[in-house]
Amino acid sequence: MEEYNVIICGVGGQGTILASKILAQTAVRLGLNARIGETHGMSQRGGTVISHVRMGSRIYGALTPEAHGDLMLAFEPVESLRYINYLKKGAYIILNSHPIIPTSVNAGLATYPSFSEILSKLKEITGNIVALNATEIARNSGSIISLNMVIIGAATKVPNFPLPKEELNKTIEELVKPRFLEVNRRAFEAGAINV
Amino acid sequence: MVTDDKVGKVELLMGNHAVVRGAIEAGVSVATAYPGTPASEIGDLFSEIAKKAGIYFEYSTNEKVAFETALAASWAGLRSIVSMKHVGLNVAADALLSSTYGGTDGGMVVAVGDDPSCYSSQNEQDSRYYARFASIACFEPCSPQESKDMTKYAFALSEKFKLPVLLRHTTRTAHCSGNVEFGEIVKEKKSPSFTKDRVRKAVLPANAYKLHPDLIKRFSELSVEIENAPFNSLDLHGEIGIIACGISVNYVKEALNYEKISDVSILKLGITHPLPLSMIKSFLNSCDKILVVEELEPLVETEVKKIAFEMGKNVKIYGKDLLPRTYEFTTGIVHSAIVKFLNINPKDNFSGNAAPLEIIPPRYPVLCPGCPHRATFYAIRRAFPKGIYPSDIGCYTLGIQPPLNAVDTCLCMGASIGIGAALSKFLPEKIVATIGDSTFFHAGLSSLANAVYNGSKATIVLMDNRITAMTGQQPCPSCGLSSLGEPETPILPEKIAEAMGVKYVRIVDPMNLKETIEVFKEAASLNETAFIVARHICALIDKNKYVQVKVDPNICNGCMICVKAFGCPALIWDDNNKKVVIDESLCNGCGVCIEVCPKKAISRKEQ
Repeated sequence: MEEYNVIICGVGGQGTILASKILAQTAVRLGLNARIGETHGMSQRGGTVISHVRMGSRIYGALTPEAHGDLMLAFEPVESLRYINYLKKGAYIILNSHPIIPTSVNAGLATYPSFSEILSKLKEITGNIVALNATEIARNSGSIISLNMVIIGAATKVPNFPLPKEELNKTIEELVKPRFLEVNRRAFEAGAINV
Repeated sequence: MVTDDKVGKVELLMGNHAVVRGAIEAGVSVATAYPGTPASEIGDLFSEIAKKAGIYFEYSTNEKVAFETALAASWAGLRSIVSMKHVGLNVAADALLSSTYGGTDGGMVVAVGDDPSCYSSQNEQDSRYYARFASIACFEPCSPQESKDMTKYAFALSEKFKLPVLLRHTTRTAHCSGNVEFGEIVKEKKSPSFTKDRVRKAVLPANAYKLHPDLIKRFSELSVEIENAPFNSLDLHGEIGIIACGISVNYVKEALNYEKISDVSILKLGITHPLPLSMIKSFLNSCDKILVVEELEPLVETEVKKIAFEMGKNVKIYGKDLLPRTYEFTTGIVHSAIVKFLNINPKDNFSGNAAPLEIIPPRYPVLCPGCPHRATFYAIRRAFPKGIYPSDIGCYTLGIQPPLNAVDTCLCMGASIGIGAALSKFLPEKIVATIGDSTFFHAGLSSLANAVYNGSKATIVLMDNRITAMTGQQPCPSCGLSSLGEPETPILPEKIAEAMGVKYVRIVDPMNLKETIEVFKEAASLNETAFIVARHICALIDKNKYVQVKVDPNICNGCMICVKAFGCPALIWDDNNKKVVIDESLCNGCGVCIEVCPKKAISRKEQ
């Protein structure tokens, strides 16, 4: 494989960093060249976050060039729009439909767009959008903290997604604390089923 | 994992963790750090593994002490590494710039994280200038593999020429994870021994005078060695050349790949100070025009132009005329410079279709739900409504956001007290300086002494959340934990203030809002330095389980004071019912909003 670029975006605290680590660590175990690009620190305090996961023989840097992303895992609806410039035309999007309202909206300084408005903007780039209430699925699986597993589970159903489900499962076992493993496995399976 | 003695094993490692692996492979004995994004994970990983790996590690109280501790280890013949963010190097610069005169003994690496684009910093200074300033080598990795390999190599180089070596990450290389192949670990550690050599180790004027020529000699010998070092490479493919420095080589390779261009000569520079003179000369001899690709300042570009001038070569050298001098690069930015440089029609497109900004609400980082700083700021705004609020570096800098609006200045570590104490003497307004516990020990002690000694009238609020929160919850001297997380006697800031002669010293729990506001109001009536410790544990490490709160919709009248003055992210405005509701996935049950609500509509849930 020459190049596969995943954009993972959401809100600080949603578990995007672990999600990117699960993908990249799986890729490395499979012998692929991989990179994660992310920022820590200030941006983690409930701010907008983005991680790039890149795989393949042709990639060098940690950042996906604009208009070169193959897949977006959007943990929060409006955050998908913020980083849509990274996607190729026809890229795939796994979209969590559950919003987290920014304080700017709460304080009346901005408005949160409707879900249909978000979808119609995304459709200008791609029709390959899978929307699901991943937050709800995570909660039903036992914990809202397993949101990242639901979304990775859903990603395994994307055509040409380069990481096999059983290999991702192995990495989840490596990286998740034993006492949370059961809930996370359940969420991962639930994500794959709900697509 | 990072300590595994398996040569050839390939692991996914973050750049910062790869530095730790490189140091372990080089047989490092001592590691020191002051946490700061993007360099924090170096110290954090050392803290985790130090005991098992037989390494001495400490979070020093600031970067200067961290540097001195690592230098002392080096003088004891041990290999040492010190890590810090770029602005930390300004704090350590005093020690660095004189340490080179007498030089080091055991190999010493200074790992610094620059922050182009100011992701988590107050400036985007280019720390490579320090390497020039101090006459030391500067390594700039382009991948986690290089972060490891360069660190290991740097120890040996440092030892050979008795100079510290600068390993310069940027946010992008520090926080980039990638494949790293493990190398051999040096098993035998040196035993410490100190050789008295007062000419080298006591840089009195007479000694420094003698040592400066020796520094220049050692550095020029190091420059010769660099000619044969790995990490720089020359790839000649015709008369058009690109010099790619550090991380930029990734963007250059990707841009050329996407354009399917292979007939361009590339000089990859992983070591950007000193430059490999003969390599650059042969590049200048082979090329008619050259583009220098480097983030931030035109340091290499200027040097290459100088070398071309001295050679009398008429080569057109481009750099900052085609590339920006601010912010980090991307493949797209470098691609567009290469397109102009080569004068070609691009095949690939690097500007994606962005959604219109006006429909995307901004999402700034905010203080966490249950953060004690929010309560402290709220109390400050009530007690000092017309005050001026100098603040400092940490989570609490987020108090600048609406609705708190409780941070008016932020400059550098410790400046809240320096600026605040001075303003209190020049202005009629009440001045309230806010500073965190770790920042206080880093650079606030001497400023507090100055405030008292030179007659400040400011109220200084020590926001003590028992941890260095912003950078990842590292311990600090007041939190009762050692650098390795073991119990330790805390140093209490209130005792320090008393010892320094502050007469009004109080301790409050900001979650007790009423009492906190009363104490602040009392401080506001004074005409002298007041020192108030607002002490409550960081919400991220608080192990207590609180009962969440609820809003009674029959009592809530939608006044929105809780949202508009307090602004906890768990308080959500329900526009349909014109009432406030609690987001249960966010509320941590601190209960401060119960006191904030004038209608008493918020209460704890039944247990």
